[in-house]
Amino acid sequence: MSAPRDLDGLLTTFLKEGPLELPDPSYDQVRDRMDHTRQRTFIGPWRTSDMNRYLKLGLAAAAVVVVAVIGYNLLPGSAGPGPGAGPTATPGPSVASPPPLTQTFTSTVHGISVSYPAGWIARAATEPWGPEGPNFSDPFVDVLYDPVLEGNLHLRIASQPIGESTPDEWVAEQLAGDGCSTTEPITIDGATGLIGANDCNTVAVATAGRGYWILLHTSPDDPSAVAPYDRAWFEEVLATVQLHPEDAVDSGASPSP
Amino acid sequence: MHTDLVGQAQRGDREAFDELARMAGDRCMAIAFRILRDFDLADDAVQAALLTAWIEIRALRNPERFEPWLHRILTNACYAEARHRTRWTAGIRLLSVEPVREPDPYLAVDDRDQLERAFRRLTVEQRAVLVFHHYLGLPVSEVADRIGIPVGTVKSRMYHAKRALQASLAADARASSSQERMA
Repeated sequence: MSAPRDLDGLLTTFLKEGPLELPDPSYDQVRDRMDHTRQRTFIGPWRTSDMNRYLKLGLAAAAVVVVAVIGYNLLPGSAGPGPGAGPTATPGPSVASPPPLTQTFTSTVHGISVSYPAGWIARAATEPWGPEGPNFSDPFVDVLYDPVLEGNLHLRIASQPIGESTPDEWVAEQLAGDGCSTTEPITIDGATGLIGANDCNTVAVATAGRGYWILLHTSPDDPSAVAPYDRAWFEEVLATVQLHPEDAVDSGASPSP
Repeated sequence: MHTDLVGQAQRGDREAFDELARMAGDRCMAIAFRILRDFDLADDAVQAALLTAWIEIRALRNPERFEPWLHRILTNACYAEARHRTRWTAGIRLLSVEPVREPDPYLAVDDRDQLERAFRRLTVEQRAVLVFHHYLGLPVSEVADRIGIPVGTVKSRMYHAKRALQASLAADARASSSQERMA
């Protein structure tokens, strides 16, 4: 290959090659595991009659939060980390050290508040958590993200009633679902749970019949930009978390004022 | 149609889910292999994704979206496999005779090897974006939906992935030509 020619064409041709079928024994193994695995029970808003009312309230709450955050960031001097700190007019990832945790986000859906870095943007959840993720773009996840790196550097937060699961079961399911093969115990605002070991930055805790899931996503696409956002930093964020399960909104309920 | 099967699976019907899995499994395997470049890891990722789908299927809101929903779960499973190399099964694997798409005669062996090396150097997130776009032929907006990331992030990953590929291929080409000169 003397030089990259039509890279798109080469890629398309290259990706056509490879296996096209899952072997039969693999289906059998899935089936075996299904026989020993309980389906999760969900009480989602999509099964209720007042979904529209809830959505309106949730969207209104989200709009208020977004406007407040944007307004805060547009105020002269507000982009900086707070009193006593130097001006930092341009929000963005810091290679040297992350911005201080001067902003506080309170979730109207998930019943949780947490501090997050100056300059980051908060996108509030507009509906209770279903199981389709929670990924960055899902409406049922609170996302706190770096305005430059967006999907490559962010915190995701969600919570839901643990239903028929025990707290330990619910917590373990979350960690397993994120591929955290090894875990360590953790306590967040008095609630016990697990955090992934090594580079698996997922936390799940449960309290008062409610499970909380928090994830720090640092994509390896830009290692130098996300390097400062390590486990120590994640734990610093987690230390600011306050859980308010009584304020969380689930199916059929209205967001707290 | 498969929406009926989704409904039955949501009510706990294992046979219905098994049928769904067999309808979607081959395509999942094709995607997972192309992202992970390893048959066993891809097999594990697909199994993990199908099991997760079984556990979570009751909350799938729109049965019509079963496949995109499954692909999102699969993508996360691929990320997990790539990062943690966890195995859902231990012990001896059965040797399987999996159908393989024949090598394209228009792609020279050298090209294929160089592309393989360059592709493996990409991050798993970059590979996923390229596979959904170039293998499945999905537009950027649909890739974003399947993977669960913003459109801008898809574009950014694609841009960086292609730059990295071009750099790798160019480096390989330089190395080859200098070896030829020395021979």
